[in-house]
Amino acid sequence: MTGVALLLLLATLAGYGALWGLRGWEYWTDVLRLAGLACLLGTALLGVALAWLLSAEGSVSASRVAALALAVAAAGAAVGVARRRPRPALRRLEHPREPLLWAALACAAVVAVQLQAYLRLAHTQPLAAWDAWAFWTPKAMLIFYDRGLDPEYFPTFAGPSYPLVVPALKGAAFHLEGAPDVVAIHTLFAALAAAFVFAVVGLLRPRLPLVLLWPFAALLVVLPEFTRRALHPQADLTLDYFFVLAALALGLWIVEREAWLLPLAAIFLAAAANTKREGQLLAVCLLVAAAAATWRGRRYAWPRLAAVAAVGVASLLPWWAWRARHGVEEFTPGLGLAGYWEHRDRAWRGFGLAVELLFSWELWLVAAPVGIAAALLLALVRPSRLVTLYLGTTVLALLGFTWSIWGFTFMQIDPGAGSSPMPRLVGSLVLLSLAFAPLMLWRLLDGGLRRT
Amino acid sequence: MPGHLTTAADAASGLAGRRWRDLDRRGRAVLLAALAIVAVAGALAVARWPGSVGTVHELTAENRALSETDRAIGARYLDISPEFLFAARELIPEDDTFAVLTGDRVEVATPTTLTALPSYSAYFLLPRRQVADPAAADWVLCYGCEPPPGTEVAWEGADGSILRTER
Repeated sequence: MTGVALLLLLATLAGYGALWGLRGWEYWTDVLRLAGLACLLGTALLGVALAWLLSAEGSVSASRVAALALAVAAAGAAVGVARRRPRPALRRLEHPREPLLWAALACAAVVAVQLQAYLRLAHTQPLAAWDAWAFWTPKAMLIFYDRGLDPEYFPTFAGPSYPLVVPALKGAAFHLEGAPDVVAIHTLFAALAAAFVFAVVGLLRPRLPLVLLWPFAALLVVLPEFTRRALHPQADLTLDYFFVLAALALGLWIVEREAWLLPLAAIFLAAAANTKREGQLLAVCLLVAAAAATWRGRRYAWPRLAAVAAVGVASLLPWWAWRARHGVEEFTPGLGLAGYWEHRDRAWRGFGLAVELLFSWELWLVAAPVGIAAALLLALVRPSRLVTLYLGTTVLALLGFTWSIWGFTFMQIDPGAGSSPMPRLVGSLVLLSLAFAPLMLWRLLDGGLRRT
Repeated sequence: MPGHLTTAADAASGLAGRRWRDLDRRGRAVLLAALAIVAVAGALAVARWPGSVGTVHELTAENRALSETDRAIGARYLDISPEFLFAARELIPEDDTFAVLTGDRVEVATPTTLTALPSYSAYFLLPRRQVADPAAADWVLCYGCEPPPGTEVAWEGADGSILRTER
């Protein structure tokens, strides 16, 4: 438990430093508001830095984890000072009129109690999830015992080509703890879930009234599949958090053009790509949709989007180099065009499965329909780049998921099949829906309803 | 700044109804539809919350009631004998290697027990390392198997035995 708490503290410090370098602080209230974002940003930066260290055959220890986090924090602060970013000031308390405040507070209370329940459960949770004991945790334990990647033994666990962020972070927590505590590690994932909720709310809050924020956050924390998976010490939801925050930062950058949002998106996309291979697929979908959304301003936007993509690719080079050095090949479908043609029936069935799971009441209640309804409503009123970004990413990702299940012919196309990654994959789009719905509704209410 | 969004204070006063009078019928319909989406999300969250938090509390209570052994063997659904795994942890030095052999001389609740045993023991017995070839291992975990020649029994239980090799 101490190791997890220390890791979170170090990651949050790193995140705060990075935020200072990226944007600075207007008020002390901003420091509080962006605590969740700082935690996840620091987790992303620290995770990628540890992955690089491991890929460079470096060794990991408690002191190195602390030094890396403090170096990121110091580098961010140094940039903040050099660029004369504002330092936080006291703010006179204001009392803006908040419509339907009672409803917002009721939903915020649901979030608070539910997250607290997750944290209490995490303290007691044995390591039970299959992928968690089969490879995510053993890899982290190897990083603890070997202090690095043993090219002989590390690849013997399942998914040897999977990127390193989650095993690296768990390994770092074990080092800070002094032992691989496979029960306490669940607390890290409960805390990341809480940080994600507060990161989304904190990022959107200056723009949106509370009543547009908390209902969607409350819906997220009670989703059956989120409840089931929130504590799993594996990479699926961590990837989703990084991906959704990248999408949100990109969406806000597209409508606001605030400079700090673009590097923020780049960091989260790089972290997503280094968390799971699906992160690389989702990053491509998001960037293609962003390119479509910025078609009219492409001279300005596209070079910047290309830079975000370049950061993502560059961040993967150390891992790809390690794999090339040690002959760890990518696990790909291996089907040629003829193979895809032969199994063409799987394409339509795979797409059907992705859509079915995305709209499954048993898994995700109405999370995706809520996002799509908000998008269609906004599109009905006025053209919006946010709608293009959200719907474009969703459609492209569904096609990408279809492609993956089409190619991996050993996977059953069945909602209940244990070998299918689809129930986990669509989670990224569910979280995307709940993060984008309030923003799109606010774009609708803020100007979209004026008489023309 | 293009597309700049206004502050929450402005937003709040706007949402509070100041604009209602200024809206035409279409605008009002869209506003109501938007608020309906928010209401669905919020109402569903509040309605589902007691069940959801109840489930989490039940799981917490179940976990608290677990014995130390059951907490250590998290994947109890695999139905691998805990005493077998703990004996292996106890006997095999951390620097030694082991191999896993399974057979039909043990009754299992699910075939998954036997297919999952090698990967579960690879995790559970870390930092001891698993090798595929029993001849190359210091120890053999024999779960319902026929003990291979050249091994001696170091521990024997109802479901399997732990064998020391001649290496």
